[in-house]
Parts: sequence; structure tokens; C-alpha cells
Amino acid sequence: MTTISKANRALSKWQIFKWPSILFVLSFFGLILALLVDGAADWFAVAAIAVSVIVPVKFLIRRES
Amino acid sequence: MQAVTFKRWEWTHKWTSLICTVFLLMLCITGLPLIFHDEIDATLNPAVWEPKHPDGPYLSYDQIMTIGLAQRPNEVPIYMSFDTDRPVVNITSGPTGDADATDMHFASYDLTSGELVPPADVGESVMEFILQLHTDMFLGLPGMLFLGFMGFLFVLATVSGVVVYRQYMRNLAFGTVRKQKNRRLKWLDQHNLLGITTLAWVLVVGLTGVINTLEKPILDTWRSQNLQHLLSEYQTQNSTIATANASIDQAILAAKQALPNMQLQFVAFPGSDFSTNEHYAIFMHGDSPLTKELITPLLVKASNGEIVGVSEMPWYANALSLSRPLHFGDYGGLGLKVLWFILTLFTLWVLVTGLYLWWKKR
Repeated sequence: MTTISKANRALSKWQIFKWPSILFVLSFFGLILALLVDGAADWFAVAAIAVSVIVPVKFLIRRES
Repeated sequence: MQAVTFKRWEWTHKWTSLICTVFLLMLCITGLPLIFHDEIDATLNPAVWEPKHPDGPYLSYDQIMTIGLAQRPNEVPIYMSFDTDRPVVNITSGPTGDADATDMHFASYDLTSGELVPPADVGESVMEFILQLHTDMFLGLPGMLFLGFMGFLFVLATVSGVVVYRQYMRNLAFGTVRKQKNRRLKWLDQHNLLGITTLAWVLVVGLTGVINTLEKPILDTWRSQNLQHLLSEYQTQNSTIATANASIDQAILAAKQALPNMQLQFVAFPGSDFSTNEHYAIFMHGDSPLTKELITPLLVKASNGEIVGVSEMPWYANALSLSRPLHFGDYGGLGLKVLWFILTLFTLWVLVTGLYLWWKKR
């Protein structure tokens, strides 16, 4: 396999998992930081997990409309 | 990915999902009201209890104990615990320190007057039923372990779902929902989208749920190894249960001085399962969202109030303690609970669409 085709495969994988990775990192670290940072539970968790709710709903509305 | 490898992942996703789905549906449905347990209790019990002397001085813990035992003359104190949001002390007593839970008596006292605090128990039986169903399906430890295994299968289904997702989404943009084609495609896309976006939350709640089902074995191991080790260091052979000569207030004060950054959780009296025959065991915890789940026990001589030992909790007991808030979503405010509720609904929809897709594909 050539370097270009390897790069294409990697890019294709990244395209599939770009948004899921971003959401995963945001919501996972939001959950953990909320527990670790004293007095910041709602700030971190709500902001980060809200992304997990808002993004799919936004996409659902956009794609379905 | 090779076709054979993909088939294996798809097979794993299908069967792990199918086996656990019925139980996961039950867990999600019973989990929804449990998220708002505190709010439901407050709604069903609107009469707000007030201390008799809101601005008055508090009685000592020794005075409360004297009042409590006067009402249960043939019993001994087993545990004393403390409400965090109101001046209330709870006393658990029984015929002996090692009495069965069914023989124990629990009563709450107003710290400002020593009067009994009426239990706020309207709707408690319904919530207790839901909690029991969610925890062990009324089957005790075997039920808990079985649900733990179902949780493990669910985690496996989630991980295999991510692998399968990649294959299904090769030629589709993220968030595509093919509404115009047919219901199967539309629901497949919704299944994929909601499944992948809730991945982190589902894994955290799923894994912590599995850890929670191991609560009894973990606590038994902690008690038989770490706690027993601490207790055996100070337990005199053939000793009888000591009379608690030292003041409870004095013992608690000594514990607070030894661990000044921690809060009081509960006191186990001499002869109880969590202490020796000669010591109070005082359990302290932190006050941040993280440390309030982590407990540190101290042993205090019942004869003179002197601290004789402090023990750190082992890693597996700390893992259990930390898994509780991450599973229940109760370490923030109402906003966090609402999000937990919405994400549970999303998970329900992923389960329902998954079942539908399997049924259509048969």
C-alpha cells in the first residue's frame, strides 16, 4: 500500500470519526472534570454533556428538514 | 476492515444487544424516576419539617443518645448518623450490637430539642419498589450480579456498535438521517446518530452500573480484609463489649481534630459490625464532589476517647464510592439531572430502534 493510499484511508477514517471523537472527548472529560473540580459540577457537566444532546438534535433537525 | 472481521463484530453487536436489551429497557425505565428521587420525595412530602428552636443552641450528641435510649430501654446503640442539610441526628439501635438489620430500630431526633422527627415516607414504598427492581429485581445478590452481567454485555454491545458504525457510515456524512427513503433506513440512521453521540455517557453510566452491582462483594472484601485488619490490631481477645464511658462528643471532637479537612459521616458503636468491642469507629468523608464519596475510618477508645488508629480505604472500595455519583448523576444540580433524563431517553430510543432493526432484518 502506497503512502498516499494509507493517508487516504486514515483521512477517510478520520472523516467518519471526527464528530464522534470530538463529542466523546467533550462529554467524557466534562463528566470527569465535573466530579474533580470543586463547585463546578453543573458548569462542566452541563456544558459538556449538553453538546451531546444539542449536536445530534441540531443534526437531526438540519438533515430532516 | 476485512469482511470476516466485520461479520464477527456485527455478530457480537447483534447478540450482546439482543440478550441485554429487555433488561436494559427495564433499567432505563426504572432509572428515569430514580434520577429525580429527591424531587419526587419533596413533592410527595410537602410538609417541610422545621427544628423546634431554629436559632437555639444544639443539644450534645450524648444528650441525644440518652433521649434515644430512654425510648428503647432494652436496646443498645449501634450507629449514629447525621443529616447534612438539617440539624437532625439518626440513631440505629437493636437488642445487640451485631443484631440483624430486621431487628434494628431507626429513629431521627431534632438536635435543637431532642424531639422525634417524623419520617417523610409518603410514596416511599413506590420508590423503594422501583429502586429494588432497578438494583436486583428482588433477587438479592444473584439478581445484582445478573444485572451486572447484563451491564457488561451492554458495554460490549456499545463497543462493538462503534466498530459497526464505521462500516455503516463510510459513505454518509455525520448526522445523516435518510428520512425520505423508508422507516428502516431512517431509524437505522437515528440509531447510529444517537448511539454514537451518547457514547461517552453510556460507557460511563454502564461501567459504573456494573461496578455498583459488585457493591456487596466489594464491601464484604473491605470488611473482611482492610477493616478487619484494623480492628484486629486493637481487638483484645475474649474481651466483652465495653461500656462507652467516653463521651460521644469527645470522641467526635478527637476525630475532627485528627482529620480537620473531613466531615463526619457516621459513628459505629462498640460491638457493632463496623467496630471492635472496645472502640467507637468514626467514619469521616470529604466535602467536595470527589472526596465526599471517599471514606476514612478512625478507631477511638470507648473508655477514654483516645484515637488509636486511622485506615485508608483500598482502591476497589474507592472505585465503588466514585462510581455511585457517576452512575446516578446526583453530583450536580437539577440541570445535571435533566441531562441524565434526556440521555436516558436517547438510550431508550437507541434500544427500541435496535430491536426494530433486528426484527426487520430477520
